[in-house]
Amino acid sequence: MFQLILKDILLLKKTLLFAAIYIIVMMIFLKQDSAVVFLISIIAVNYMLILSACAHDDKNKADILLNSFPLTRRTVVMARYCSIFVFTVIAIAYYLVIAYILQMINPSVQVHSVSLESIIVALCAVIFINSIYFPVLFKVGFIHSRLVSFALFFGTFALVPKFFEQANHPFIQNVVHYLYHLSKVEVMVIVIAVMILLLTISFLLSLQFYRKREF
Amino acid sequence: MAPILEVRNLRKEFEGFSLKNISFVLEKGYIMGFIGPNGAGKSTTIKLIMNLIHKDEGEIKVFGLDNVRYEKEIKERIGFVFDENYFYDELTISEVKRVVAPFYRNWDDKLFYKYIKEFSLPLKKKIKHLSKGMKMKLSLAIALSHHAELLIMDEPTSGLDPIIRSELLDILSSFIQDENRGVFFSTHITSDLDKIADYITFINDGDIIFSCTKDEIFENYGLVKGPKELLHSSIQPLFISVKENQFGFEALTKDKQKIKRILGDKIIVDKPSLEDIIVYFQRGM
Repeated sequence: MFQLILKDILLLKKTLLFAAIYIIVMMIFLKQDSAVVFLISIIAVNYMLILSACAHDDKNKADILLNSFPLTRRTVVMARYCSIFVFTVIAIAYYLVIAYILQMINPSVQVHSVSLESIIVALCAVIFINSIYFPVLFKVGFIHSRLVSFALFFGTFALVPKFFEQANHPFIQNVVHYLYHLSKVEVMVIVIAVMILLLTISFLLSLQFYRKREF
Repeated sequence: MAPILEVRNLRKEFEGFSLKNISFVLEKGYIMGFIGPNGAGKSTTIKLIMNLIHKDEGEIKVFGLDNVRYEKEIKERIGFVFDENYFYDELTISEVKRVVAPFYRNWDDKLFYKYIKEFSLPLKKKIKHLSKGMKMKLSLAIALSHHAELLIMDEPTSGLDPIIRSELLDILSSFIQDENRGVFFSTHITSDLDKIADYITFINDGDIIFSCTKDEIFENYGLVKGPKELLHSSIQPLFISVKENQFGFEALTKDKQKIKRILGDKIIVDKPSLEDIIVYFQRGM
């Protein structure tokens, strides 16, 4: 499985360079609340890398190639899910290194100091997007799933502000009220548990779809 | 001893095409040519063997093992070369090797570099910059570097010049020197098979027309030439199809001895090429 992720990274050399430039541009020009810049950067870089990796696979008819090697379909699907985390780690590392360098060069640049909470929020966002996207990808292939990934990516940005507008909705109030009385650790545990559940359901669906696919 | 490849009553339905109950067996130590016109079902059969598509019915055994249940174990021992290059265009040969080698337990680095040198492949060049012949050789180098026992090749020679094709045939001949190995080789360039195949399996419109040794084919099939007046109704059923021109007829028969007995020296019976066989079967449909 590690080899499949290595293959993605070797294929994504150009995209990785582009992602670094993207983060620099975001930091310099988006002088908004820098926590938002962090979140957008991580989601966007993750989206960019996942989509490019899938595009390379599609272009090279990788399903035929990979499934002719002694690999199970489970390994192929699992590698795609693991790449979510690898790409997120790369995006966070990029952010940290670039933020450090930018501040060295120009201390007046406002950079969000990355906290564990913001990493968890970013991770939740990429898990959410990809957990919905991957079953569609493994069911219908890259070409037919592009619209879904596009809608998910931009939909996330469009829906988050809407979500905050609805903050007074009784259901949200109840959830907030409930979480408010929990400790920070308890909230994190709940969030992580929900994400693991989402990933597991998504993975099992993807695996079932991919096992039925014909190439 | 189990055959190296065994296909029994294999069926697969698609819209507008189906593989109908196909069966054949390849024993260890032999090269089987899998021939047929385009769209006959060659690639579909190979994809079924590789479990890239799912069968509707039937049985496929490789090394005596079910190809779905023991998929991973079997693929450890199979080398594949496909018509198109399915390696990543953007990677160099070195990078491809780096990714692929750990997939195989029996990967042999020394052997890989030996083939790279022998085939004059540039390690630092990206796949997209290789010629078609080089891509085929890379596929072959990878297929041979993990000590595969069965080579499965789907149209490996299509689009290649005669020199590279002849090199490939030499490699296959030396590969098969080890009697525990086998080669299953689909092609429509049948002259390649005239040279190296031991067995020929002919598929046409999803049906296996025959699967036997090359010698059996040439012992039984004949290309009959004679005057048109001999073509009466009792003779016609003995031919697979007939081509007529102003001077006479030319026809393919499955039983040349019988035709000779009936028509004696009024006809000439030549040895057909595999290409003739494909063409006459196609015409007879």
